Amino acid sequence: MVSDGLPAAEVNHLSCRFGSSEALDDVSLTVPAGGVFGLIGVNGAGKSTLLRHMIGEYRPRRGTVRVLGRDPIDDRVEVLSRVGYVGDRDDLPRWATAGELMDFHGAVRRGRPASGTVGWDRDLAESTLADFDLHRRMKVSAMSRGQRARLAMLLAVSHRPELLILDEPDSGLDPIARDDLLAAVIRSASDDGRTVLFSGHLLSELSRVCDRVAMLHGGRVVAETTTEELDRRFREVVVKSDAGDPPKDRYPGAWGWRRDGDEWSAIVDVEAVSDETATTTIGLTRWFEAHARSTSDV
Amino acid sequence: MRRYRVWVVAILAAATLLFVGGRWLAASAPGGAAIGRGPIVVLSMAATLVVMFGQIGVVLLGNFAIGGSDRMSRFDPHLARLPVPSASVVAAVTIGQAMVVMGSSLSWSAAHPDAAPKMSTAFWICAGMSQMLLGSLFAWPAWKTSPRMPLAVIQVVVCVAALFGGTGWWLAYVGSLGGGASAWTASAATTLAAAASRLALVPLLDSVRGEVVDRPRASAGEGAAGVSLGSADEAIRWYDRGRERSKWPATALAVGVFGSLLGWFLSLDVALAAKIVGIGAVAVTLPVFWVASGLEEHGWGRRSTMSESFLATPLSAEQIAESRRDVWWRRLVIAGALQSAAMVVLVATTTRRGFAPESLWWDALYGRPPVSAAFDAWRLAWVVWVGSTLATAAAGASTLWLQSSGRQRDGVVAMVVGVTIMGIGFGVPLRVVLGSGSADVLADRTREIVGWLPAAVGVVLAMKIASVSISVRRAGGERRFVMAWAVGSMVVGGLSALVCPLTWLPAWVVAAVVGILWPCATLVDLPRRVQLNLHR
Repeated sequence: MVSDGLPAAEVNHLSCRFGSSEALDDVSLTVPAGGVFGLIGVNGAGKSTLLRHMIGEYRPRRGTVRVLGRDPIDDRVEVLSRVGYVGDRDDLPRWATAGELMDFHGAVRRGRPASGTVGWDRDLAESTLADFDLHRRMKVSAMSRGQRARLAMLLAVSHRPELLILDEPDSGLDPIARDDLLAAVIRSASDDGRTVLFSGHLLSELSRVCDRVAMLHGGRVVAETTTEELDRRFREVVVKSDAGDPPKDRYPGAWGWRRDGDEWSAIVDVEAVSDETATTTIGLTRWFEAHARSTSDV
Repeated sequence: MRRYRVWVVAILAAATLLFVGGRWLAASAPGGAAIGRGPIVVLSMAATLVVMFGQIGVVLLGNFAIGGSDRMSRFDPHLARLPVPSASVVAAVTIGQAMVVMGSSLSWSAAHPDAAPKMSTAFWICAGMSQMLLGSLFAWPAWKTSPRMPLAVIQVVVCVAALFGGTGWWLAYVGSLGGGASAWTASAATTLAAAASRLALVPLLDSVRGEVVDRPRASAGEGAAGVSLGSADEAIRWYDRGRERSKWPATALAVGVFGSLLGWFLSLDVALAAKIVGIGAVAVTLPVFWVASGLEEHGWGRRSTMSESFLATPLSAEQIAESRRDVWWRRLVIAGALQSAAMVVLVATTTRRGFAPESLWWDALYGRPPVSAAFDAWRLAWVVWVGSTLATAAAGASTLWLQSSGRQRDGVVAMVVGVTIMGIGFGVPLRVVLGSGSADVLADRTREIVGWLPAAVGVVLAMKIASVSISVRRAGGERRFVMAWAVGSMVVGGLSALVCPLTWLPAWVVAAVVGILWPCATLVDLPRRVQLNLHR
């Protein structure tokens, strides 16, 4: 378990650029130990980039990242032996079977008494395999997207990680598969003292499992609060404006500006802005769902 | 039916293309109208369609033989997905392969106008038979689970017999043409190359259909998957082997392109030196493809394309780097072995100029070569081989350099240096050939030398195919990779067929194409890779 007082993950002033685009812009975030912490944002908000920094895949150019009190680059083995990770790339090796991958992870995730890690729990892995209706001999290439997502989840949780990082593990899944995954998240989080960092783009789903949520947009953390508070405080508003630019001066802090004819829409903090000319349209939960739908249509 | 619609359209489009292109070829090629190659084209087109539909039919028959997906799923639930996708994949492969063979056939026809009609038909018979064999082998894993094994066995036996029967007939025919043993040898090599290229597809298809290939042996006390992983290092080695195994589709691609081009070259009646350079170019393609494949696997700089699920395991940075290096070196060794095999074939084919393997011993025993031109060819062949080996090594060295530094600027420098060395590795032998004692022959037979042009185009396109295929595979699955392969093969085959008659182009154009387009093809993905490297 995480040492007393230490957060599960801590990011300070982290910035990252991919070519000319700013993937992360001075992000600071603390993920408290224990419970389920959510990251929400539309595609391109910077969620995956942030999480990849946490598993040491990206080296910070500016800022610092600490996971379980350690640097994921310098203390890679120590950190990753205590972390479980499911990425959004759906890149389990297609040439292997479920059983082979379980054996592989069992071999590379042996217990480390010095650091207190228990290592691969074969019984847990086998029972999860059965729960997910998978078989050891199933080849990854023959699995459906949902089956692969379940297998990835199995591989990420079976060493009982102190921090489980899930980067949109449910994207592209049918509702049943999604429910299975969320159930697994909740189960994992229910273990004493463990932390789950769960990213997604559906607030309704995160609100089912997350205690707190950080909302990212354009590589910046625009809010960090509870899901209920998030849904209550932030709404999409629509304002009429003939100007070519969005009326940002009337809505400081608003983000996600979009134009439709002579109307502009954006997400605003309703507590910070009071404008009776604006038409309140939908809450953040529905906004994210609509955004996800429009993205998937594209 | 909807699932097949795209393939029906593709096949009709390919047939139309073949027909129109063939008619154009027959009309515009030097002396084409007199040769009367229209019938060849029609025959070839018909054979193409027969092969395509026959291939699909074989696979479907194999699936129906075991009762369709429902019954298959009783034996193995994963086989339930097999029938329709398999037919699509095989159709894609077959179209691509058929286009390559079509290009070869038309090229051969252009070089052998007298024998063209029968030869072309015979060529297609062999191609068709080998495709049948391929289909049988593809369906074999499914048949293994079938209670109706005898049907499968009979079909395989028939296909094998047909293959060898067709081949034998063809070889006998070629041998009687008056070309003598040399033509016979070339034709035999062509056939074997074509057959080998198709046999090499088996692992690809195996991989596509998700069948187990070369599964690690089970050991006592291990799980049902049979993986013996006593330590993290063993686990990494197992993972590396798996990654290597997953590269079989890439190998099949390389060997397929290689075999087809090799067969085509061997059947051309061009100057010996031109043939050497052409085959040398093909020999270079293979290692470059492998190295490109390895580069993609390793990623540029520290940004790796290795699976995140692998990278997120608690392996040390050194273990991961070692894993990358192991895979890369294995590929280099295999590429070198394939190169050497190509050169052996090259030397063997020089017999048509009076050169025999025993002339090596002649030289050793008597201190002089038996036939000077042949000895030149032998020497130059090895120059090309050394050049291409240097090129491979340079590419590999630049890769390792890049990996060890992990900085974008170093990566670009390494790339430029690597490509430069590759250019020298290939360009110097080319220059040697052009400036050698064979130059007078080359000058007199410029029109033949331009037979290189398809080779140059083939090399460039093969590079591009590799690049596209790998990119597509990264983005999607193996099936899309195969699709990219099929499309690429169509382009290679089609262009080979269309470019061949353009024999008025001087030899320097060939050199320019090889010297400029080839590195460009290598660099075509650089911006994206540099972009990836910026992630650091």
